[in-house]
Amino acid sequence: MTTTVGLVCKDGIVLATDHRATMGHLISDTDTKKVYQIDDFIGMTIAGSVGDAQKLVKILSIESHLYKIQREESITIKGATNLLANILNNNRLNPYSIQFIIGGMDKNGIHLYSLDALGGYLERKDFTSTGSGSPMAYSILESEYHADITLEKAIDLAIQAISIAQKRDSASGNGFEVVIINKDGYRKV
Amino acid sequence: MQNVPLQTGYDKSVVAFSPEGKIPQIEYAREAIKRGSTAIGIKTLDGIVILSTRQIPTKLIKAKSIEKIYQIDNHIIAATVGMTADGRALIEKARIEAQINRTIYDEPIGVETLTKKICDYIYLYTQSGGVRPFGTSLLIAGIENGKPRLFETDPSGAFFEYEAIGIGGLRQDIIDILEEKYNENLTIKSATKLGIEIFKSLNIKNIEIATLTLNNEYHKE
Repeated sequence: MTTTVGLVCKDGIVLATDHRATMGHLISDTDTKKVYQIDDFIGMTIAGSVGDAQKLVKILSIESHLYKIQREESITIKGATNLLANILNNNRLNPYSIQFIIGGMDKNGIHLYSLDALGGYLERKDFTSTGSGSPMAYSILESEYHADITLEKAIDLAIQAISIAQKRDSASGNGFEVVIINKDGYRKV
Repeated sequence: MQNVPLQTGYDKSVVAFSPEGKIPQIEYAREAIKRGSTAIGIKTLDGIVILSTRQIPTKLIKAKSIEKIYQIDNHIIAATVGMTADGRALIEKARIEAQINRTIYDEPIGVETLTKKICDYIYLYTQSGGVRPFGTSLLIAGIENGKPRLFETDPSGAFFEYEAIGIGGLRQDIIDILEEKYNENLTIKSATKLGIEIFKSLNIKNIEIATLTLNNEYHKE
């Protein structure tokens, strides 16, 4: 059920995911999109139930767009995270089974958050990982990440973390997708 | 009763236009504001100043209980003129909207966003039957992205942004003076002085003064 990572570097954010979707022991899809653009400078990864995730991605994209046209400025990363956390917590008795990473740039700088299914969210100043492959990804991130990492090095590290997880987690695999967000905007690598 | 305009039937309901294309109830609400107290708002380099007149009907009253300037949130203040009770209702609405924004986005509400929310609410009272418009005009002032902003609301639900403005009874007199004396290099200190001078020149003695700095430090006297 997925490996996703998010890394903070000096001049931007890296988000990376694998491409596998599973139904029990079946690999049901081999080219699954798990990282989405929410706003010009905000990206989000999903891990868990695809139907739940796609609906919440849609809601958050629409809310960000509405925020921008009503207020003539972009929603902040914290604002988008808090909005999503409220939706998740409102459904805590019948929770969406997903974990998210939200990251990007706003007027306050570079920010990275991870959210759980009940709407708990934590800001990370370094890196975070979600999904069944996250224990393996964390082992690489913990040993290789350093605070002044460049965007190029962070992309390499993200790919390394995802591929290690794919070797030992049967629910992650089939290549990866990497996205960077820096002052030039949201870009697929 | 000889001053009451001839009732044509079009001015009884909020919902109906008069043949001149106006909604008389809104015109009357503006009239209520013109007959009320006055407030001045001035944007400065280091924050915002709001001054309001305080009419003391008897020396027995506790002057502090006549309140026209309110804090909405850490970074927003507002003055009301016109019908006091209507003003209080809008202030309460504004305070709640400011906190709603904090629960949804975990961030302070923008001054323009708040003004729009209040005006959406005011507008509701120009469209439905059995209600009357708010006989109040608000001066909403606050700090947004480190800069001061200043808005005025109207009973129709329209709003305008200013560098400096007067609302209420002596609106036009104050605008005339401000057009001459306002400049972009005022500070909280010099703008407060200017505001007091303006009120003095209009023979008003009892004044309520509130200031809000760029760091959201609020002070009222």
